[in-house]
Amino acid sequence: MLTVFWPIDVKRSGFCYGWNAPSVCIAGVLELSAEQEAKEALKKALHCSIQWRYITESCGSEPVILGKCVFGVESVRSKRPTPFLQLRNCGDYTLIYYCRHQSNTLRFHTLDIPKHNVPSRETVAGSAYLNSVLHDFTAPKRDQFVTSINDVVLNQFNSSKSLEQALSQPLKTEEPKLLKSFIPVGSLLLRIFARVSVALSTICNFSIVPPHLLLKDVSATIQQIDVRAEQMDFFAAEAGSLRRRTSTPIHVYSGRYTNFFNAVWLILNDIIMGVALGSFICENHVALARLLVETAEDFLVSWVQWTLQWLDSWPAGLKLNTELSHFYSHTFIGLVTVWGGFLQKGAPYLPTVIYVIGVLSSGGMTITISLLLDVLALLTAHICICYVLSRAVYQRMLKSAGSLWNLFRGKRYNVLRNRTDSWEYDIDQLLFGTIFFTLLAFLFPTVLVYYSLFALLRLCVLVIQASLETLLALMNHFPLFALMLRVKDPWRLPGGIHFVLEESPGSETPYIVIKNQPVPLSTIFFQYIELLSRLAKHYNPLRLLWCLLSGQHLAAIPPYSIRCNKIPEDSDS
Amino acid sequence: MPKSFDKDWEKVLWKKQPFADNHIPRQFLSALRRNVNFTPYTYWPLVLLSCAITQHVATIFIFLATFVRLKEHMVDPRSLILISVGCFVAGYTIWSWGNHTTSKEDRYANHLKTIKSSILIFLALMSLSPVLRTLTAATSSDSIWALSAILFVLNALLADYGVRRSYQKLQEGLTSVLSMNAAISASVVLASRLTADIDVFALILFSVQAFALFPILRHRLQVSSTLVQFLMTFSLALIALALTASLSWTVMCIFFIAFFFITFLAPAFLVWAQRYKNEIRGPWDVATPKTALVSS
Repeated sequence: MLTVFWPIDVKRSGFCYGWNAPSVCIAGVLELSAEQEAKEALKKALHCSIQWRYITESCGSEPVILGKCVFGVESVRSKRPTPFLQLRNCGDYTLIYYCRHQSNTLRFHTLDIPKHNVPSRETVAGSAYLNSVLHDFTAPKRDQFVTSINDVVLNQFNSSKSLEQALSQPLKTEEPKLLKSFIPVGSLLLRIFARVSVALSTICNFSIVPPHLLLKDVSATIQQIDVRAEQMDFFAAEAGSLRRRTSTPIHVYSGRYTNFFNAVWLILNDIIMGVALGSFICENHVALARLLVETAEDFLVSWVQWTLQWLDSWPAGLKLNTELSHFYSHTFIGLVTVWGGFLQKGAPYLPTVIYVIGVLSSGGMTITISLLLDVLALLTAHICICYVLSRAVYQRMLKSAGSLWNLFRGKRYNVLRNRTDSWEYDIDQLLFGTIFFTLLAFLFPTVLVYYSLFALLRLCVLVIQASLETLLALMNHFPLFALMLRVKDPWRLPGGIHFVLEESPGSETPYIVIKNQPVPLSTIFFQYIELLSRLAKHYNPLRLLWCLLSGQHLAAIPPYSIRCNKIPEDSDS
Repeated sequence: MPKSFDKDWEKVLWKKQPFADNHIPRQFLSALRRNVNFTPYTYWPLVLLSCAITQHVATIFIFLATFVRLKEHMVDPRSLILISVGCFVAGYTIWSWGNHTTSKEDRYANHLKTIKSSILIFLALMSLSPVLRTLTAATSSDSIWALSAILFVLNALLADYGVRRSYQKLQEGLTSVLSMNAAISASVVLASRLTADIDVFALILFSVQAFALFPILRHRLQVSSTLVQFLMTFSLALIALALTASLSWTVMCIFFIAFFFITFLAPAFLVWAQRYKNEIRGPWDVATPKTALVSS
């Protein structure tokens, strides 16, 4: 019983043409009288059309005339075509219907979720395994499925409409309509973009303290500018390849198209929101500046000073070591006062600064958020310094306590072997250890109290920073376009095919139609899910708690891990 | 006593026997041995062994008396320092007399090392005493008395009262180090009640002397003759009582009762409690190999 794939929209009689291998797939029907005429028309169309030269490779072989088909009178009215086929070398057949799509609608079939925007697992897993994979005899071979549906057959489905168009109107190149409007403006802009992005990238990657500290590590705004520069670079690279509609296979082209317009849409959204916010900021810049200065004064300077004084004078009845507590509180109050002085000096300039921020945010809401991040970092710099100082003392105390514990147990840390060995200590070493231990034990509560104050403050600042960075990552990489496509036209985001059993009224047998399955949401959001998992891992509350208790530095997430590379992996432009 | 026994009963379950499976034979538990290695304590050796505890407790009482005198300015701190240094020299001489193991050059090197470390500790304590004075200055006196009492009890409980032979190394176990820590912490806590730096220095020096260095000497003297041990205990107790007598009569009585109890009554109690000793041994116990070197 032969399986024949028939396009569901063809209801004409004539000579049908298509492919014989790997299975019989009929691309269309030529309404001509003689078979020889049909063969000549097919050959002429194949040689004249430029587009075909690229697609022939993916369809396995050139299409041939397969036989004759006749439609009965009643089948013109019914929903599905039921042709009577007279194909060579076959008698009995079953029909499976498939849909043909125009290539400029960018709809197509695939067997599986397209992996061009996911780094391919085989290459990632390491080429050391590739050689052994070749000898893996338990993996099913592709040759086993030679007569079923495979990639080649789906490529034939995808190109059948183009074949028909090539037959009826040769020498016509196709491009998506949207892109036609971009072309005149495009090339000049692209050249400008490429130059500007290179310049910006060099500035952003300038290293302050070589080799590790780059300028973009310090400031969030510079990081955002770097992201923009990367996006401009991406445009410059991609727009050229989008013009080559005919030479790229449709799944690659569709992926590129989606990516490109996703980026365009995101940036436009960004700029719109940024302009709105910027105008709001510019209008109220004086009020905002006053509010900011008052809040900063209240929370960041006066409250901290009040808390330090409160800690110095028996907080909640807890008696800390007087001298050490005095020393701590005087130092920190001094630092905070100096910072407050800076703030006062800068207060008159603040309205201008906010106005400038409002103007700059017409570059996008992301720029506003990153400027906000920078302002926050500047305003809380004194808390950061105090935190670093108190953390250093606390961590040093914890380490000394650890080594004293080793001393009392009669053990010693062997640096050469990286383990603890038992060791005999002299009596005077033990004595020194004892005296030092009493000092540590009695001074520890004071150090702990001051450290915990600044650690909690730093934690709050970090939480605010984390939420702003999450928002930034959201705005930079949200897959809007793909989501919209999924809702509006699932055929353009195929993630496999499935067979639908349909009934036609008044007919005997139900028939099978091949329809596609849209890509699952998890694939659309896969970059997102990875981003969010990285954020969750870094800001895991248990991990933060452990860092707090053991005195490790509470750092914000390194900005590289919440950026995704926009340029797709397989660039064959 | 001879027990009747079931002749045919065997302690196996894989044979069919004329008895029931849960039959208890008449020779049940005949292999049970009670108190096999039991050598009962006798009174006077116990008293001798408990002299170590008495000496330690006496040291604590001497220290407390010294503290009270320093606090009431009844003794000059400088003279206390001189006494401490003198005691250290005397104690070290006695200790090195008993040291027969090392050769002449090693002994000379040991002397130099000891002099160096003692000078180091002296200077370190002198420089740290202002810090140590203010460590717990803010705490109220009641908490200080309670804290120091707990720490001294801890010291007495965890101290090493065993006998150390001269061929054994000077390695301290964790509990003895912890007890020394507790004593030094207690003295630091008490020192915060004093007013001048030199008082603090004198007290801490004396406490280092009494709680860190004196136990070493005590271990060395424990292996010597009974008379020396007894004389030592008696003299220490007498000094403690004498120092306390001029301060408070009640406390002296309490100390005397404590000494009496530890030295005489507690061993008697232990000997009396021997009658309840019930150590059960049998062939079901883990076998202990008998090695040639048996520590008596």
